[in-house]
Amino acid sequence: MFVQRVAIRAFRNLEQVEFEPSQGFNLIEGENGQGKTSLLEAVGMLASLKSFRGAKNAEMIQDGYEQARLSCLLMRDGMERDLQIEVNPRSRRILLHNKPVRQLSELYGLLNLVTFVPEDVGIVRGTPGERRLFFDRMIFASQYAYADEMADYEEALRQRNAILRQEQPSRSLARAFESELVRHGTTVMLRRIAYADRLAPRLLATFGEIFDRELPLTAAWEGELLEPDERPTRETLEARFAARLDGCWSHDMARGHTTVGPHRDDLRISLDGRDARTYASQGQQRAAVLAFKISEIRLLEEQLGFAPILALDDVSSELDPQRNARLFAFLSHFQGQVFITTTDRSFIRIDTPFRLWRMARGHLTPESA
Amino acid sequence: MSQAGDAIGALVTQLSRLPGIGERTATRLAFFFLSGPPDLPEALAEALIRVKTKVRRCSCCGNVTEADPCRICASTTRDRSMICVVEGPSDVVALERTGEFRGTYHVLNGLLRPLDGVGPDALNLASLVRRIGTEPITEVVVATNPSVEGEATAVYIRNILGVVGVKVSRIASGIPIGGELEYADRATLGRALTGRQTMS
Ligand SMILES: Nc1ncnc2c1ncn2[C@@H]1O[C@H](COP(=O)(O)OP(=O)(O)OP(=O)(O)O)[C@@H](O)[C@H]1O
Ligand SMILES: [Mg+2]
Ligand SMILES: [Zn+2]
Repeated sequence: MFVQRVAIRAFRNLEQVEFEPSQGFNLIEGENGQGKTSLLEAVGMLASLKSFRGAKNAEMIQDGYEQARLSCLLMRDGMERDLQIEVNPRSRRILLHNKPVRQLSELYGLLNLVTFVPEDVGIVRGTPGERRLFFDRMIFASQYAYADEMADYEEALRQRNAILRQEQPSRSLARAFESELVRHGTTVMLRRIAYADRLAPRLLATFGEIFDRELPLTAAWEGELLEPDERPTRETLEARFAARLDGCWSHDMARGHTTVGPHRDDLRISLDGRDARTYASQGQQRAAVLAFKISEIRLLEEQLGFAPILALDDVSSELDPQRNARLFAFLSHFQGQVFITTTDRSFIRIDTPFRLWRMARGHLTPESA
Repeated sequence: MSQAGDAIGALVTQLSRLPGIGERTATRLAFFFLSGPPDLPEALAEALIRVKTKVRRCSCCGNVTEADPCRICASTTRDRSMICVVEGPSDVVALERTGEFRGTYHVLNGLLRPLDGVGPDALNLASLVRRIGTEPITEVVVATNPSVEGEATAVYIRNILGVVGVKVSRIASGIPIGGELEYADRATLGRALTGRQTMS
């Protein structure tokens, strides 16, 4: 799978960019603030309708414009698909072959993209919220229903929290929303556990390759509703969740929000059985993040039966020379389309042929490598 | 600005208040009133005023109607043992089109949305409980959308009616997730109704 043509209008500082990327490696070079991340963000929008920077629509539309427009010609399974997105301040419109798409499920999974951004590197040391986001994005990249399930969980959570903040919170009203909270929250927890299980063997192998040493890297979900090494059934988890919500009702009322559920869980990343946040060295932490990303790509590739598209935003600057060498070794064998940005092409040490692009003040021009 | 400009501007402003109509569409519609069929403005204005003055809520089911009680509540051929609970009047229209349901309706006029301050008191729920007490009802089918709010409202209704001892069922979710009842096709809605499940 690859994108054959990309057109961007009034998106961030990219007033008008049209280009035909290589099916293999695309290196985008440019000084700071020229539009490199914006270009990858635009491609990311076409894949998931979301900004990987977590930006709102209005922030992405170019100052002075009412609408941003993104489109690409996507080649997949020998079929050509014409995909367009209009980003309006408070809405968006998706067109497939010029026809509006109403069900998002028609779109999800069409463009399989894995992003790797500098912020990812801090994930081991980051907050639980950052780790959840990092991990949830991985799940979403291959399981599209997860986005809706997560959105439903968050909606039920917001409604219960609103009840908790009322002057006289109604227990019976809260119960009605708790049944939804429990149902969707359990789905979220089960998906996370299942994905961590599938990632585990790859994580172990990949970390060994990257760090040249046999140190077991593991990642497991931790939370009030989860027991270590347990693989609970839906029934068990739902019953436990419902009981805990009942139990913490007065506590939650005092706090004004829900204190138990997957929105409070954390991913415990361990090296040799010890917490990687405090135990692992800087180099080991970076290696761990790289292992996560490469494992995700390998898992997705196995599942799809072909390579997803990769978008790497200036990650070389965040990795040390050894980790960079490992990343490039992996990329040199990678079969799919890659977009990689950098401020200086000499950072990028790959021995496969690549197409070079220069980004300057929002304009993209091809250059000879 | 000229007088004419103000009049068009005002019309655009009012049309933009309609759901699903942005300023661009509103402007196109406004100019249509100038160039389209000459009788349209008066006919539309009259229809709008009639709706506003003649249409009210049925005191029994809460649906919109010109006569109170409404046509369905007043009918002698409907099955009085079954009530179908829906979010709004447009859901009644959609369900009636399926021809699958012969009972009566109860229109909530909304769904529980604590975040927007919509609690049970803001919905047409008290009269539902009253109807269970006075009409020979044996089954209540809750046909709210399968959204978080729709499901929570269904659970809430089951909980308050559970103590009254009436059977409460939920339409089968043959409706696509995220799909609105209003837009579901007839066959799907029909299947959802016949395949309903008891909420115990
Ligand atoms: N809505 C917007 N309208 C116009 N310009 C914007 C908008 N949002 C961001 N920008 C500008 O776009 C420019 C490009 O940002 P971008 O993050 O893509 O740069 P970059 O090439 O990735 O830089 P760096 O190497 O520093 O990461 C920045 O100067 C930013 O201020
Ligand atoms: Mg950048
Ligand atoms: Zn009526």
